[in-house]
Amino acid sequence: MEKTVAETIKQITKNHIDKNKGIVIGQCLTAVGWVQNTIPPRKKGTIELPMTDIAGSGIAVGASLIGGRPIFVLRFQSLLWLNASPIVNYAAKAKTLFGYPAPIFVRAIASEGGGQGPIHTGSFHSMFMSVPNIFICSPMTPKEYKKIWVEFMKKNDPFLVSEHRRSYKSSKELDDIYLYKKPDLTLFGISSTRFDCVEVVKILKKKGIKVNLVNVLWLKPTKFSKKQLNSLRNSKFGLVVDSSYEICGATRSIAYDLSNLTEKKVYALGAEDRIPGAAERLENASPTIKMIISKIRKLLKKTN
Amino acid sequence: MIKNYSKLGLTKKLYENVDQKFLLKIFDIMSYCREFENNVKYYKDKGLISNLVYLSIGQESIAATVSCATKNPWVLFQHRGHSNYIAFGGNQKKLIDELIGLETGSNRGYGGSPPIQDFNKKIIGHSGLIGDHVPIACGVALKIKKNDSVVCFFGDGAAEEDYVLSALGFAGSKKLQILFICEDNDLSVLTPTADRRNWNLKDVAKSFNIQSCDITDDPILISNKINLYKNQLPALINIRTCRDVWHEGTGSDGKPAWSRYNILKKYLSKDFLQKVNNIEKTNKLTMDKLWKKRLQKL
Repeated sequence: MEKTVAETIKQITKNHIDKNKGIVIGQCLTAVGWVQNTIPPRKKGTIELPMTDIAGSGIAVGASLIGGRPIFVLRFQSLLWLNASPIVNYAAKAKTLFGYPAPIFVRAIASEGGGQGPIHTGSFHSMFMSVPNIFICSPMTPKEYKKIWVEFMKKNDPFLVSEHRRSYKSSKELDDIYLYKKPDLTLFGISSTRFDCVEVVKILKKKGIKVNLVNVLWLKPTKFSKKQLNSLRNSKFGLVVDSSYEICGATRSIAYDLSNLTEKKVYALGAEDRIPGAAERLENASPTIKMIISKIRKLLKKTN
Repeated sequence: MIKNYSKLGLTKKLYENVDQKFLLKIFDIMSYCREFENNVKYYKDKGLISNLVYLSIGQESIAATVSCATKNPWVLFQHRGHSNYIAFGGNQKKLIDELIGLETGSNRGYGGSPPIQDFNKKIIGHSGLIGDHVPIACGVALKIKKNDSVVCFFGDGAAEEDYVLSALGFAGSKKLQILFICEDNDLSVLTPTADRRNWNLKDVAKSFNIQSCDITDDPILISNKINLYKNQLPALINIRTCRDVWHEGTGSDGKPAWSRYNILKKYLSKDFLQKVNNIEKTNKLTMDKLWKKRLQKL
């Protein structure tokens, strides 16, 4: 049976502790569920932090200076706001400012729904994209996770890994979809929206709207293949979709880059510019299938 | 400024059986560091240093004594760290080059005065945000070898940062091999401690199960406490000291409450006048020459 994303993370972590004398460090790691079953259920190599954000990431960054390439776990991406400073001000600057590396693997876990409202809803990788010297990615499949781990072990840099709880139970791979030579649009999916983008392609195919789909794994530096860019060049326009806030966010930034690379109009769709609420009617998380389709219809109308 | 420093453990009794060679060694390092800082002051005033500078004049006895009383630890400090850097064996040529902004500097000219580092000498750099190296020091302590240790210097202002307090709690809980040294000059920029808080760090450290004390910058007191704590880490020593110059720059806030340098010099001069004079003369010559040579690279 294929491994799920959660099982893949757990296996990588176990190997890191056993073979590399690595450590996994964070708050409430050994609690029930072992971080959604992504941490090996044992004490070896696991460092339980007190409930101390800011200092917590500083401790993890400090450990990265002496070896061990710590995996630093943030159970909610909302905690990135508190833990950002040592990652941004120390780890990211280390190679340039001090001449030695701080290779830390930050697992930031996004979640939404279930009444989390203003507290833990959302993905916040965008704010890190404006910081030099951090690699940022958002793996949603087991193979992608293995791939970004290999990259981390090859490099001597801090990695921000924008995970999403929605991917943990999934074992399927998400490949790019190129159904059309001359599509109406090319969709660029980021984070958990990628699961929905697949459905969007299927639904719109039935309606006669031609959509190709590109999966965006690397948010910084962004990497696009010729095939991916050509799909956009042959489209009427592009649309980048992400779980994080649209305003000043990953979607707009990547849309701008894609537009410059292809001279095609590329639009953005992310979470709305408002505080999410706990009540279902007030939620503000990843754009849903309905929202993505609605946006595409509006853009098609505008383009035609 | 501190008024009741005589109550912080400075007694004549401590000096009855003092190893004066040890004190001479400390004075030598203090003098060397001071000559370094005098040059920084001189060239900053002449406009040859354009970076911000945080001088350690007045506080040298702490770096000098801790470096003599500890065995090759990992060292972290923040701004006002020139004396710490020199006392723990950091490359002085690179330090000068850094202050004058050269590619050959300790941080290739990126850092200036606060983030100086020399990883080969186990001196880890500081981001420049006060106190944020204290949790980093705890992370370093998590990964060091069994017989190794960490010394982490910070100031009385940094002690108030939430992440410093959390890091102390972590060090106490995990029994990390860290000696925390608070260089307490009673000023955060220019705001006295009493205007900022009503607690003292020694008590806070104790509540985290960290051995702690509150003393002056007298070298004998410092080395005695380090010897006492060396097998009981983590420990924290809050050391009252007097900054002789502005928070940043070369100006003066007025006469300090005491000058440890002058006190020690006077004490040693009673028996070793010639040696004390030679130390000062040699250090001045050495340091002036070194600075002149490095400045030729500009």
